[in-house]
Parts: sequence; C-alpha cells; structure tokens
Amino acid sequence: MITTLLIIHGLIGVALLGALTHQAVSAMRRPSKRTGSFVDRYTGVNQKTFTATVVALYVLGLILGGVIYPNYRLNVRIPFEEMRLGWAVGLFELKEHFAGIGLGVLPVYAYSWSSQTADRSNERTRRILTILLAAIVWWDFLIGHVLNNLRGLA
Amino acid sequence: MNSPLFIYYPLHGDFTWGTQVLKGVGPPMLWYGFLSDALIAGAVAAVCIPGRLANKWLINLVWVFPIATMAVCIFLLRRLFQ
Repeated sequence: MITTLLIIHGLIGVALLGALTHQAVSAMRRPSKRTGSFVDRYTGVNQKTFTATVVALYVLGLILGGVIYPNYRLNVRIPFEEMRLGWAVGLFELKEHFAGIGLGVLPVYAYSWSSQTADRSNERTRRILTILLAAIVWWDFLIGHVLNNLRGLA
Repeated sequence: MNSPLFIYYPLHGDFTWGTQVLKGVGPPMLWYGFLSDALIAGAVAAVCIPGRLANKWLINLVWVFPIATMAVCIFLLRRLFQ
C-alpha cells in the first residue's frame, strides 16, 4: 500500500514538474516573434491555464507525502542515522521544509495569476513566485528519488 | 525555533500538544505541528493585514519571505552536512 502511494506521489511530482516548468520557462521568456521552433512551442503556452492544475497537484502531492511520511520516519530515517548519513537526513529535512514553504506560497501564486491581478504591474512577483515554486518542486522531486535509491520504503 | 503546535509519534500513533518530547514512545515527528503553526499564522495574517496594504505594497515584496525562510532552513540544518 505504501509503495503504491509512493509511486502515485512520484507520478504527481512528474506531472507537477511538467506543468510548473512550462509555466516558469514561459514566464521568463521575453516577447519575441514566433518561429515555430521547439523552444518557441515549449515556452509559448498559455501560462494562466496551468495555475489551477499546479495548485491541485501540489496539494495532492503534499497530502500523499504526509501520509507516507510516518513510514519514512520509522523505516528510512532511523537506518540513515544508524549509518551516520547525516547529509541524507539533512536533504530530506530540507525537502519537507521547502514543501511546506511552497504550500504557503501557493495562495499568493494563485492570486498573482488570477484574472484580476495578471497584469504587468505584478509581472515580476508572478515570475519570481512561479520560478520559486518550480525550484522547490524540482528539488523535492530529485531529493526524493536520490533518497529512495539509497533506501526505499518498506 | 522548535515550537510545533503538536508532536506525532508514528510508532504507536500518539500525539502530544506543545514541544515536550516524550520518552519511550518512539521517534517524534514535528513537521505536522510546524505546518499547523504556519496555517494559524497565515490565517491570522490574512485576517489582520488590510487588503489595501497587501495589494499595494506586500504583493511586490512577498517573494522575499519564502526565499529568506529557505535560507534560514539551510543555515539551521548546516550541521547535518558537516
């Protein structure tokens, strides 16, 4: 059951990576003449349409992570401590704290992309928050994979 | 800094309020308590901060808080990487 939840947690992370990376790269893109290239198509997405999906996937991923967390605490972190892998414990601590910070950023992120505020006056804030969320999700995803490779859940 | 609202002990599913760590009930988990603290603080801020102030000033600087918090987390956990 825990393994199934972990796999779903990972798949949600993949989907979240796709959505946030698209949105962040598109937000950083300077307006220019479209050429039809891969980069052009990758960055030329409708940025606002990703917002609701990002919020839903992030919350769902966090909830699943919260359900799996006790199993990690008992069956993974204690062996890490016994093996004196303080850096592995530290990486997961950063993962969990960054995930919580990302949860706090979500309402402001969603507000900045809402139709009432998605104008040029909030463009910098919108871009920074999107890039920040993308960085948090990338970090959490990669750290989760590395630590699961070191020692998986029972 | 270590002030979770409650502590969860996953070995037997026990809870304690506040920061007192019990002995003999297995390893503690503080993360749920920290998230609860943040939820309460955010709700209070959402109610108390005037909308006019938030829309005019805070919206342009709000990104500073999460980045600063992340930097503080890295600083506080640095001993684990030494």
